[in-house]
Amino acid sequence: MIAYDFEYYRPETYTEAIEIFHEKSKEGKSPIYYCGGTETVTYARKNLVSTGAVIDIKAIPECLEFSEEGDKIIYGAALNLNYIVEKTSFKLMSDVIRKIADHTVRNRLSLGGNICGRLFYREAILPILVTEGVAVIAGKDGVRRVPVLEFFNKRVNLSEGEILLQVEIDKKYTALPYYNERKERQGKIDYPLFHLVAIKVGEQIRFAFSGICPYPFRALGLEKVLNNRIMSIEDRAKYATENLPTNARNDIYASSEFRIYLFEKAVVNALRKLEVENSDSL
Amino acid sequence: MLLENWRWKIVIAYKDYTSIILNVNGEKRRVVVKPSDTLLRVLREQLGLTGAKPGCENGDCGACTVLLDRKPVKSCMILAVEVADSEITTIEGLNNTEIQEAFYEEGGFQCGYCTSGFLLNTYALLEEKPDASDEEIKEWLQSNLCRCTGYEGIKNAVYSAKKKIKER
Repeated sequence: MIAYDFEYYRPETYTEAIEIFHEKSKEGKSPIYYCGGTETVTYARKNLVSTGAVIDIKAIPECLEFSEEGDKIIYGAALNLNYIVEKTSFKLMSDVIRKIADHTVRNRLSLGGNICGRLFYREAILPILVTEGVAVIAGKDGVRRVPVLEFFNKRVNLSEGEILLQVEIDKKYTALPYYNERKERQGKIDYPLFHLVAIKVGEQIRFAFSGICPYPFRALGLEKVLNNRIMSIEDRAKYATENLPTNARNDIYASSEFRIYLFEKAVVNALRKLEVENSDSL
Repeated sequence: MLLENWRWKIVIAYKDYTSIILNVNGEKRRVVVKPSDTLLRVLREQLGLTGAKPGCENGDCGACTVLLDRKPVKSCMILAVEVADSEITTIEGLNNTEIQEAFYEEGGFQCGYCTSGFLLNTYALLEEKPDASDEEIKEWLQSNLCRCTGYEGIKNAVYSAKKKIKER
């Protein structure tokens, strides 16, 4: 049970949600946006999050939108992960998110919750990073669309009171060859020791990683070296392990040395699959 | 329920104790809850429906599984106030189903603590996908943990129930 009390609001528009947020903020209630609840409720029970008001975004139509019409795919931030897995034709997206948590939890775990949450894995951001998706954000000053590489740097860049409404992905990426590898310590239902996602765009391969460092990332400088075909695949993978944006994680799941060992092998696998096997693809 | 005027629009809002109606096993039941009360606690402590169990209360073990609009969810991670519009099914709402019969016949339980969660999850799976593949069965049931059986009896029960449902 949760040991403290809070207020609950369920607005039907994002303008109402933002107004309530700012009103409750002025009252000193430290409001938070609420969706699937998988993180908020479990963290609240352990007193790891404290709030006087939750604002449920599940009734906001823009947050529940799913569309694959035209030249882009729109994923509402309040869509649960199983819904996306079942509905989307973008296979990389469904392959990545169906590995998050377990099936029953994914009936509640939302796309926006995974991306904006406190748990640092945030694996749902990986396909959005490599496809350079766009985040649709609502705030006091209206709605803005922000490229994901600006929106996400270690974690989401949202000003106080802003809501992530949707994510847009250009459909041109959905048919491209990709590589997806995730390693767990034991069993499939576990946090990743690392998660590597790569997609081949023209002759270049884009990479995004989670679990190896304390945040998911796509490092453009590192990516340039990984695409440098003058170097051997093994040398490029070795370079990647020596040039991570920060130290590899060292925790009860795995030592940093073991993570780096697995990571290096996965980078080799990705390069071999996409560079060598898919050399005649788009 | 408190409906607040918010710039001339009505917003659902709950503060302190409030009376809501939950639709549980086909019946409308009135409960008095705080916004911070989880569905699991309300089902057990206010409605006496103790079939859903507090195992980990962290969304890991699945002992608290109930169905929400026919989808399995972990009730320890859901606030009661957010599901007043939904159809909730607990183990008490399942009667003489093929899956219950199969669990009994195949010895799919020992202490029984995880059993209601497994039954509801499997029931939902086979209702939605009577021809569920091995992969789908494994994917769904990985949401539930059992410390007693070693899963063999549970697995046999699931396949037996699948067969029974096909023969309906």
